Amino acid sequence: MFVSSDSKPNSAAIIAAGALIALLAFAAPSPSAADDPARILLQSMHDATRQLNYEGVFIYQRGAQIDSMRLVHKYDDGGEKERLISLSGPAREVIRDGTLVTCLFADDQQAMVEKNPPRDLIGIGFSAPVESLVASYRFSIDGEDRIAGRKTTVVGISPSAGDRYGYRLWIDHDTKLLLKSVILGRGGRTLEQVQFTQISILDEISAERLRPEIGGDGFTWRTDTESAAIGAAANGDSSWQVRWLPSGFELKESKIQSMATSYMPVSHLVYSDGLAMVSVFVEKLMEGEQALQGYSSRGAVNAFSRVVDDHQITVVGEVPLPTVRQIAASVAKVDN
Amino acid sequence: MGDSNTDNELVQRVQKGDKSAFDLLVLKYQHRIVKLVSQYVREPADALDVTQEAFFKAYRALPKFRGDSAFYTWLYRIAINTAKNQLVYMSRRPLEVGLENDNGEQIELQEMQKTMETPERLLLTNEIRETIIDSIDKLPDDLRTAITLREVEGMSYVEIAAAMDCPIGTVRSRIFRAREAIELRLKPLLEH
Amino acid sequence: MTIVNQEKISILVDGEFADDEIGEVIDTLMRDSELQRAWSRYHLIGEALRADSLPGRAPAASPIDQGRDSVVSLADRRRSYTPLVGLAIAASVAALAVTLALRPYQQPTEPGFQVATSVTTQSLAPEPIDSIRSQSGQAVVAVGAFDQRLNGYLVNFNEQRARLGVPAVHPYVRIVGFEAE
Repeated sequence: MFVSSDSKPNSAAIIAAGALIALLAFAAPSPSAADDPARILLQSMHDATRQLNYEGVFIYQRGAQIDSMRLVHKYDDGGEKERLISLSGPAREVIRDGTLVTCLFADDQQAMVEKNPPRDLIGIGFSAPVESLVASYRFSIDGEDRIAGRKTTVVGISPSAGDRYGYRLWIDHDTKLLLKSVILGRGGRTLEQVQFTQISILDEISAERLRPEIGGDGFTWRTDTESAAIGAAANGDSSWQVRWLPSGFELKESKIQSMATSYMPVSHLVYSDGLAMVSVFVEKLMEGEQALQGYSSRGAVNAFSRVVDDHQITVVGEVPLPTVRQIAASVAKVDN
Repeated sequence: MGDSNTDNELVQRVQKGDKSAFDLLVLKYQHRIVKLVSQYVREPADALDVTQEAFFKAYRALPKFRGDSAFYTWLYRIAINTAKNQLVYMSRRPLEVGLENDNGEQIELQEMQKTMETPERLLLTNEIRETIIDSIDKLPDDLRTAITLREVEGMSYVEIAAAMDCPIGTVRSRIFRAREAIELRLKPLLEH
Repeated sequence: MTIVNQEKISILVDGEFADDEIGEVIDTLMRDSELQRAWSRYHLIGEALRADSLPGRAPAASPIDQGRDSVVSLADRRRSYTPLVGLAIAASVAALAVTLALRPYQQPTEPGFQVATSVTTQSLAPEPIDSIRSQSGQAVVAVGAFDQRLNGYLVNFNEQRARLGVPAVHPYVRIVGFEAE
């Protein structure tokens, strides 16, 4: 870790790292918000992030942890191709080709291929009813700044209440690419940051640039079956109910999954307000099986676990700890 | 309400000419800044020089600080830039603290150095760290929980009161008693 | 100097005074060098605690050994972890430092906060049972198994986010990011 005070620093990396960082993948704002300069900019950013060819180095920080990564993004024939490469720590790469995602981890010689529905088909993000977003967040233009040597416009997204986090985005003046993003906690405390330290916008990206450098012999390949949904219940697991959510949060997906890490199938309910996401997991505990109770935290992700009627309830979300706790406390069994 | 309001009050006082208000900002942020620059500048002596220079630059620039960002964010940028400059120039010349000043500001710098802790104390030594952690571990559960929720989780008194199911006054008192207990063991290490 | 004033400094450090009260407390603080030392030390304590909650701290005495609630943290388990289900676990370790309080589920209580003030293991590999037996003879917590389950949740959360394209940090950044010193 190059910023650790206990290890020899890599001067070049440190100089490059400079300030701290972010790369957000925002979906499109509603057309009805066309009169709002901040949201017009977010729409342009959304398009640019998907439709331009670019390659750059960025750093990702949460707490004292800083990672440096390279991103290559190509857009052609209406499709996106991406390659994300770790530059610090163990060699890791994620290749995305349309809906196919391949994760390569050199440290444990594992490769996983996963098929994701394209993001836009599900369309969450700003495609949520704009009224609900406006009720939960305020959008503002917060001035200008320089990131990676480029002029940017700073957009602020502030929550109306303390039950969710705020965001700040630095959008490139010329290309509208997102060059820095920050998730802000209470009192404006930075929880996570991604920031490009160097970026090039290119006419062409060669196929070579998108080819992984790891993942040859010795890798164990597997497809993503272990966490696959075994039954997308029509209405989710109807025997459990989440009785409280922050305003604007709606159920986006509900499924019952088999997880390699749990004995019993797990009900997974996904909620979002269009910006933040919360997962509620419910699983039956085996007799004598120990349960999780308490909280966990890292960066902008918080989790809270409790037990109700021999069921393990765990809420994981990019919302403040008191919010995940309150959601967890509201999960109750429905008496049929 | 909030920590930044205290900073704003102190900044305004400095801007109105009350230099000793800046001392409180130095006392508050010196440990954090030295830790920050230590990630860039390895030599403890250099890190302390950079820290001093960063505070000095901040002091000189403070009249122009408009409060667009939080004071710490602004100070942080100054410290990072000072540290990076130090890295760039490290091989070319020694860091010259207060090099540019020619208006008697050197004196102010020296005063600032007096405000700051001595190098040994400023660098969070293992002994200091271990004393603090050991003190925390020995605290009664309610005090330990209260101060950890506050300092590590960043929760407000209201949030802690909800989490611990007790009145806000109790939270305030528990956090203070925790600090008092830790400080009692810390004092001998920090005093002359 | 009075205790009352020191407590005020503690409140000031936490930013819990109303705007119209701050000025008066600062006035008091500026007049009293002992209070200024307390001001500095209270901030130092916070720094040390936050630094301690981050990666890199050597494990302190196990709270379980001391008969307290069973409390574990994954914060220091990154470098030497054994991937239990390969990628998924690796990804989840990158996603979250876990400071979960663990109790036998047979005696559930209302959700209460448990604070991890130290770590007990450095590996995701299951701990030998004997090493985590509480003095009270309470049912033993199988740390490894719990980590697996929580990690499963975290991985699913991040994967779900990647699927939905929920705006935040690039969906795969958390997976590529590796917890290391």
